[in-house]
Amino acid sequence: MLYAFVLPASQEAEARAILLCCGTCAAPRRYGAPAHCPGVALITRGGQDVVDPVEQVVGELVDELDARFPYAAALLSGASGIQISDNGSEQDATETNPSRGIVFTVYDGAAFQEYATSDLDAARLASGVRAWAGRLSLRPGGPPIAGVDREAGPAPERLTFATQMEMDPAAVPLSEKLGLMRDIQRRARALDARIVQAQARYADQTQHSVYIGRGRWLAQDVTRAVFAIIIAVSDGTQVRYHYTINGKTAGFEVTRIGEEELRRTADTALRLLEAERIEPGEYTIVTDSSISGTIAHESFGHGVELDLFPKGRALSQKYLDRQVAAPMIQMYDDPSYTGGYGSYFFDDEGEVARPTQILKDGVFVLPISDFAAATYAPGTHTPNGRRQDFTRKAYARMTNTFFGSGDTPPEVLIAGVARGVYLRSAESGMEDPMGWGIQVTAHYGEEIVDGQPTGRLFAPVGITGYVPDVLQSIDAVGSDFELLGGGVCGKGHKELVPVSTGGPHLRMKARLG
Amino acid sequence: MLTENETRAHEALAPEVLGAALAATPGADDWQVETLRDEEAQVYLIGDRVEAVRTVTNERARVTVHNDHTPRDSEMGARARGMTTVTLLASDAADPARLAQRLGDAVTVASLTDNPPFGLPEPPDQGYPAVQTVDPALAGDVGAALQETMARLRAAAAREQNVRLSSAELFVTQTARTLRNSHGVAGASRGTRVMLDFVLITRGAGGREAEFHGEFTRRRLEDLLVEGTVAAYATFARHSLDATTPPTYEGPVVLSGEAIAGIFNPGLGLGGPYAFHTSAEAAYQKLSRLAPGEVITGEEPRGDRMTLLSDPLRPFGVQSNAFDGEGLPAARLALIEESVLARRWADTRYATYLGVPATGAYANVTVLPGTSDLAALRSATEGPVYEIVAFSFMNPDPISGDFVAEIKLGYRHGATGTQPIKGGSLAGNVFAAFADARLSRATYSDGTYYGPAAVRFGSLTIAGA
Repeated sequence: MLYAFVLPASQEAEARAILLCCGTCAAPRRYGAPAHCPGVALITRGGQDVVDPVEQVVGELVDELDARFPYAAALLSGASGIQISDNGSEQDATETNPSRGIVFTVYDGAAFQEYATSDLDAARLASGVRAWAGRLSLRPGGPPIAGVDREAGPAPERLTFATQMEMDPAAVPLSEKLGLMRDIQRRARALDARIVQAQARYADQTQHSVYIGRGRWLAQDVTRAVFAIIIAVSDGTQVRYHYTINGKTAGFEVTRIGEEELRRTADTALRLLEAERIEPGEYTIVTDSSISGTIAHESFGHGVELDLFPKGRALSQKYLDRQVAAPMIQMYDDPSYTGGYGSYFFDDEGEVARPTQILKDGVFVLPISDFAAATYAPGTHTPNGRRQDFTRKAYARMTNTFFGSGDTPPEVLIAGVARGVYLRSAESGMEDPMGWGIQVTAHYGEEIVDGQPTGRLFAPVGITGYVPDVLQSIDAVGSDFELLGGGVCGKGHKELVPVSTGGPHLRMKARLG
Repeated sequence: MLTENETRAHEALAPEVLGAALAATPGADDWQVETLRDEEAQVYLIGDRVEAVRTVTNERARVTVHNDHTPRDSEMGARARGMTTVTLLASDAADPARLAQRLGDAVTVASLTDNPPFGLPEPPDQGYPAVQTVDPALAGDVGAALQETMARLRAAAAREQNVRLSSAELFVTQTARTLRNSHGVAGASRGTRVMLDFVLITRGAGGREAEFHGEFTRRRLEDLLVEGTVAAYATFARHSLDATTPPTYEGPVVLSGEAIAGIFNPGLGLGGPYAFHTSAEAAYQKLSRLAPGEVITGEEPRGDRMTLLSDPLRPFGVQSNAFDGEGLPAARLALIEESVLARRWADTRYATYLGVPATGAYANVTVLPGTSDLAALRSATEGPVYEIVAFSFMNPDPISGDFVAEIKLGYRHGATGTQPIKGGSLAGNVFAAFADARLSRATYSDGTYYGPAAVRFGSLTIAGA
């Protein structure tokens, strides 16, 4: 469905910037992505927003704070949705974590002060915020706020954005969702007698958020939907499993799965019963999109989060405008990518979504930033300020992070490997922004001999290495592109936010174990 | 002290109020109400400078509704039970019409899911045990305690040569919790929790730098052991600067400190393979590789045998609680005894399905220590031994138990002494590895894990240079 575009003139340029990102369309050319980008919904509307009743009060409170401090803003946030699962013998349907609340932020001249609460009663909120603010005062001596772009002019009009969907989950009856999961589960279970469990999972969540500050009043409903089928098999002595997952900013359409994909998932699980541990060593590898994306995420994703720079934690700080990857490497973070699981219309600090090119021709050109970090480094503010929820601080965080495509068909990448491993299905990864180590775990890998996959599987497979060595060893970039969502990213081991990763197939050298 | 406004908010979520509303909700055949109120103070440092200060109040009620109905699927039997959970804020509960609608919607959702019937816990005959979960040091001025801890952290870092504090985060949380169900269970508990995250950076010759990052959750401030932890991590940072990538290797490997704790407590809320395979749920779903009475290692252990308990009673354990999420009383439970699966932990649902006693949720994990000295475990008389003290991310596969993790820091013990290593990865299987293991007498705790400070495994594989 499409929404009408209703733009106040003063913010039209900013909104148009979003449309240019996601319209018909620069993105495919930039990233080599399939031309699937139908545009973004930008609307003003009323409706059942859970935070509406207190917005007016919040606006007044922000105005009060703004008159006293160099920076003041508020973010209302909440979520609604359902997660369901069916494993054949059990069904579950329950609300996704709503985590509703509000956070007020001021910069008092020395530090950021925040007041966060789940109490959305307007009178109690006003009383609580005023009591908190009454204990604060301007404290000169800290780094000055720099580079804060503020909308000028009269009080802002409220802009509302919403995810475009083919099938709005709110319009699909729960009985239909449960019925489809049971059907998929049964179809999968029937594929082979060695399947001990097939579990179909689906979750949708619409995150409502409203940012008021810097002369902006922005509201968005970002709907994320995830479908997964997990197939566990046993040969009587061991259990192995494989899965297919599809997570996007989208609607119930993510549940579409064909018989061929179900069969492929089951076949891979069965083949994993014969998987071996890989002989440790350095290999020529070909990575699928999920592994390529996780490498991007852990290397020059986490490694270029600007909030690490003032802490002296990012080695990349010394490599700005320097070659860090092979010259054919382009890398992006783009919260405006249509359908990306990490997408949104504005970040948790009111910065409108737009793409950031991190690596250009293998050169590190721009970090990603949150508001606080950008105030110390003018000109670097990107729309990457994200909170796990209202109870947590905003940090510089990734969204949809990926390598740009090249011009080599994936089958040609594989054909060029005399002896190596084709790595599939990323499971997890870990960053090391100062030491530039990297850890990525693949669910499995398949041996390549003389340019052909042999069918011999290894599982699991760990990839480790020194980031520049890994990125500079890339000798071919696939012409394909896939963005994979449904996962979350942590800052260390906490602060989880939804993200996607992806890109094309890549060929490189890495240490496997 | 709650303000008048805050008291009103609390009353709207009072369990007796919500219980009465549920009792009046048609189709709510069973129910549970859990209220949670977290008061949290957070402070963030960049170097010596305070970057941010936050105060957080999060109050909500989690309401679980059960509905009994005729199943859509005849294979299920005559009756099915469905359940769902919704989260209510004070603003939901304060409006009777809105509350009735939310509860009615929950019944509708529950009525659409079909599961074999199961019941809810009854009130325990002996009541709930007393479990220590509140730090007395946080009973007073939380802000002052927080500032003092940060000052100690800064001072401890300042004492370390060639080391600086890059950043730090300290959260102090006070939690109040109540739980009621339609069978008469009624419990209340309080707890405190502290989370410290810090990064130390060291500088070496030629301006080279290395960092070491620590993240610690405890119930009490004193259990953070600030000065000792900073000293240890400063040493780790300095060793990281000189560490080299180990060679590819197969042989004895010692895991110590957080590296061995990570095998049993991977973090991120992940239970890990031991929690999964000792559960009644895994057995019911035919996914458990373990069977009661059988050794967990697949072959008779050649070294020390391992005994593992779930222990919600441990004083100030991070997972300690007088009752679990459905009101079952806390009880210490030996799941693995002498490397044999002794029993499974089970919530009421899976206990009913398997016909075993309901034990309560998996809690703190305790592994009984062994008898070996740390020096004996590190002995390299028969060739080099590698010891790993920290992984980048130990995330073993919960079903297979296989793991492969990057080495964040370790040591090579050999005839020529001890050298630091980092990089490469260690691979193995968390069950098979204990077929040949020796456990230290010295113990270590990360707040959830308590057990041997080090375990020497007979043969694991390092993928190195």
